[in-house]
Amino acid sequence: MRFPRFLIAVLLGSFVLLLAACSGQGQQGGKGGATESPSSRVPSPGAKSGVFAGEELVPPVPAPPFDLTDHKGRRTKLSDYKGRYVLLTFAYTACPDICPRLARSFKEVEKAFEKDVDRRISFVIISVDPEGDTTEKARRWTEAFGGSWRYLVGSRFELEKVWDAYGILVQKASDGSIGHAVKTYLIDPNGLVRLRYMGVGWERAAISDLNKIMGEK
Amino acid sequence: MQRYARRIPVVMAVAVVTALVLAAGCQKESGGPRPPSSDVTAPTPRDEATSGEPADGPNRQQGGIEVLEPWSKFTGTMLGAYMKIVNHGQEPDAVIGVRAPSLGKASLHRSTMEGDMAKMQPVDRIELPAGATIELKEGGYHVMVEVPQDRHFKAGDAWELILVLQRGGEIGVEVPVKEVGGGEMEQSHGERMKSQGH
Repeated sequence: MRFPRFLIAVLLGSFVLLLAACSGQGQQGGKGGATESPSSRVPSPGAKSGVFAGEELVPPVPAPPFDLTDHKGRRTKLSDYKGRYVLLTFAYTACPDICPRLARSFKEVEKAFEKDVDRRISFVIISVDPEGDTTEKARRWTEAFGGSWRYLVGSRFELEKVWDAYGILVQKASDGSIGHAVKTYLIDPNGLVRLRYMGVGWERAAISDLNKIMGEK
Repeated sequence: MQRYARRIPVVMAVAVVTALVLAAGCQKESGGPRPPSSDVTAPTPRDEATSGEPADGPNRQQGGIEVLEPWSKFTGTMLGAYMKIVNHGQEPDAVIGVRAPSLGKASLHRSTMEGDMAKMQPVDRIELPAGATIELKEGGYHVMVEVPQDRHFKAGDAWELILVLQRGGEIGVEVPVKEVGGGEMEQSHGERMKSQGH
């Protein structure tokens, strides 16, 4: 009688182990937040508040600073945007599908707040490809899209700190593979991260949220 | 005791099979690149984006391989090209290289979305099974061409792409530029990527 019981225990044990391995692997693929490094200073928002279409950070956290060069060679710091809302996302110019889609969303929001662009709201893209994205490429890319954003580039050393702080996992392999977390943040005029949008296709959510949030006193 | 002892091999076998099945389940959930079969399709109703375009040109066929509905997007630094490739033949073939003679470096890539990670990786070849239609599309395979700094494209322009086939021969394709800078929201690839999930 002892033997089978032992066997059953082994079986159950391996089941539990396998299941644990399974769920671990699943998370690596990345549900929201799973791709954040421990050094991220922008935590994953909890459940949606019901007030906004985006994921709300409660309480809001100070947006991690950056000091980089834009597509026209201008030094650009987060603090330059004090008093304005900022939509901030991460992209690279050799990105075929997702990044053009993010740029397109930026353009849609720009269109909705035309009179306020660079007065009450600004758009910022930060490169996830320091080796590929030169100032010149960032400029050509921005001009092709006709965007009002500043496309910020920098050295790997400069950029890595910013990705980490914003919880943007970036993977680059020697075979030319590149991967990056697709997250967009809304920063308020006091420099606080208020909302997060995951993936693409959030332009309507952002427009509706901005209408609400810009009405705040 | 004897009875149980005899059952041990059976129990072990069940355990091994279960473990294998579970492990296979694991691999599926780990979010690796989707198998190429997801890009192999029988003819399906088309997006409005590509229907209505002329089906084929003079140079789009070679040895039973046919290219349909090529189009591209220009992002200021790159051209991304998409198309359907039909293997009408009885033998499998593969695209093993691409060239864009008047432009810059051309390469085959595959995009995937894994959780919130957007990934792009170079691929050596795209298999063309006999009788299959392979689709190079947003969120999947594409041809990427580096565009020289002094070259600009607008919608309606076209450029020449050459596909190199494993079984010999090359196909020249005139690829029209359909989108400059992200295109229109109606054809948003976000929605298309989502719908490709299953």
